[in-house]
Formats: sequence, structure tokens, C-alpha cells
Amino acid sequence: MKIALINGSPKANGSVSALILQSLRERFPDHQEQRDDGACCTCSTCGSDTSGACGTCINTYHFSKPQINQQDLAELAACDTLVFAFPLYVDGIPSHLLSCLSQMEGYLKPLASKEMRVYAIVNCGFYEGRQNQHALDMMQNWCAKTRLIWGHGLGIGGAMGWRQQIKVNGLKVRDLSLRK
Amino acid sequence: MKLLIHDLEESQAKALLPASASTDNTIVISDDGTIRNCVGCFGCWIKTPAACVIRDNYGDLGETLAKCDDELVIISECFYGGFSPFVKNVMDRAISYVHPDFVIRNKEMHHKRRYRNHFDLTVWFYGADISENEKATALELVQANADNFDCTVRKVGFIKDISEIEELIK
Repeated sequence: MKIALINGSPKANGSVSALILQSLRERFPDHQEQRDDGACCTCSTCGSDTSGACGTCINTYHFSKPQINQQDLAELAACDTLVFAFPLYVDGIPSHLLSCLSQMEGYLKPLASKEMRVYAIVNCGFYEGRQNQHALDMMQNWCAKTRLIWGHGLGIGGAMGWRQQIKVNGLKVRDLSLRK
Repeated sequence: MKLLIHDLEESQAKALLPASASTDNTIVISDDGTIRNCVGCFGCWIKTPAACVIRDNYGDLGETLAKCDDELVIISECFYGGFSPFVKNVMDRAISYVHPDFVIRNKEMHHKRRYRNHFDLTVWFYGADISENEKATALELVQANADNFDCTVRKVGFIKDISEIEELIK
């Protein structure tokens, strides 16, 4: 199984979206990033003698610009699961990520026999996580248009508190987890 | 003052929008191909209040919205029940229209007003295959936008072909 964790924040560093995905990533410590050349990462999941047998890789992508390069598109097309994490912008999807989703729709829709499942985690500064509902609905609508399977969506409120923790305490994303 | 935000190409806009769309009484924001996306720095709230730190042709959109005291009309291709990337980019770059401080409005957290103007919001979504789910999302989205801008929704409409806009915008 190939899983892509996609950070949709335009921030280069210190985003809550990165924090969320890192926390998620840490829950699968046995699975490593696939190597740049696309070969198996030889993680410990299936044993060193049978590297590649499990076929499970978790790769992380950062969509901070309104375009996705062809290599990333090809890699994403080979995935079984996409997990998006992004901030709520004006009740919806940030415009640069919207451009990326449109590009992905054009690339993925013509591909036959793909069974790709999509999850989305949206965070906002408002207290109420439900204010992310419209962005999640749009992700579900994107799945329908792109002929992908909608998994689940999660809306998280109060995200500014985490950003302040990063900023005020000088912490880096890797120092924090969702439990703190 | 009215405000019109659209994602039409220049030739389409000239052909379909009335001449009144570019009079002194209406500000038009359209895609000149140079807009850069919001980078989430909050500079327009914290460092240079009301002005975006990106000084392209779209750096003062919050202030532009503040000049609108009549109607804000948005014409946008429907993308997944929301705005097109350009129109959404304009919205993202215009957050300085509201103040960074929060207020509880209708039992929900929203941003405080920065300006005293008030406008009504009309949105025309166009697209050949807008699904029912997308329409439902779009209706809720525009209401949510109105809640956050503290404005009133006048009309949300859906058209299949952009040429229909000529009859609707007069």
C-alpha cells in the first residue's frame, strides 16, 4: 500500500498542518519514506531479506505552490490513499491548493481502475471545528469529480493555540505532538 | 460603491458584462495573470494592518472591499462547490477586510469588523456540470462567507453557460 500525506499549507515551516501530519506519521514508525528513485525503502516491515514484499510506503508531500510537478503527480497517481491536511482559508480550501486539486483532477480522472481513498483534516483558528465543514464538503465533491473514494474528514478548531506554542516557545514542529 | 469580482477572460468580460460594470461607481477586480497566492503570514493583520505584504496588483484588497457600501457581485466558475482558484485567491488576499480579533456572532466565533461599510453579496456560479451536492455546498459556503464578512446574502445563482450572465447582470 502506498500512502501520501499531503501538507496543503502555504507556510514553509511551522504550520499546524505539518504538525498534524507529523503526529499521524509517528503512528506508523515501521514504514519509511520511499527512496527518491522510487525503489523500496527497505524498512523493517517485511524483513531485510524480503525487502519490498510488503509494498507499504508512506510519503510526505508539501503543496505550497499552485502547481504540482509531473513527478509528484505520477507518484500520487500510484497511491492507494491520500491524506490531506490544510488550513481553512475564508471558509474553504486555500487557493493554491485548489489549483493543485484541479490539476490532480485532470491527471487522475482519465486513469482507469484506480481505487484511491481520500481523507482530509482541516484546521482553523476559530474555536468551532465545525466551521471546517464547507472545506470538507468541497474535498468530498472533489473526490466525486475525480472519481476517487471519499474516506473521512476531520475538522479541528482552535489551531492558533498550537501556532502560538510553536512561536512563543521557539519550538519546532518535530518537538510537538497532538497530545501536548 | 459597487464591487465586481470575476474570473472571466478579458474578451468574455467585454462581451458579456454591461458598460456600467466599469463606471466610476463600480470597482472591478479581474484576473490580470499576476496574482500571487496568500502565504498565510498574517502580515496584513499584524505587521502592516490592512495591507498585504505581497505588493502585487492585489495588495490592498481588504481596503477595496471597505469601499463597497452597496453590492458585492462575484462571478465565478464553480469548483467543487466553491469559487474558482482566481476568485478564491482574491478572497484569501482580502482577509484584512476583517480585524484579527474575534467576536462571537450568532453563537459562533468570527472576526471583528475593521470597517463600518455594509454590503449585500450576490454570487453567480457558472459551470456545465455543477452537481446538486456542489450547489448545496456553494449555498452554505456563501452564507458562511457572509457571516464572516458580516454582510447580507442577496442572491446565489447557478448558470450552465457563462453567456447567460449577460441577461442577469444589468
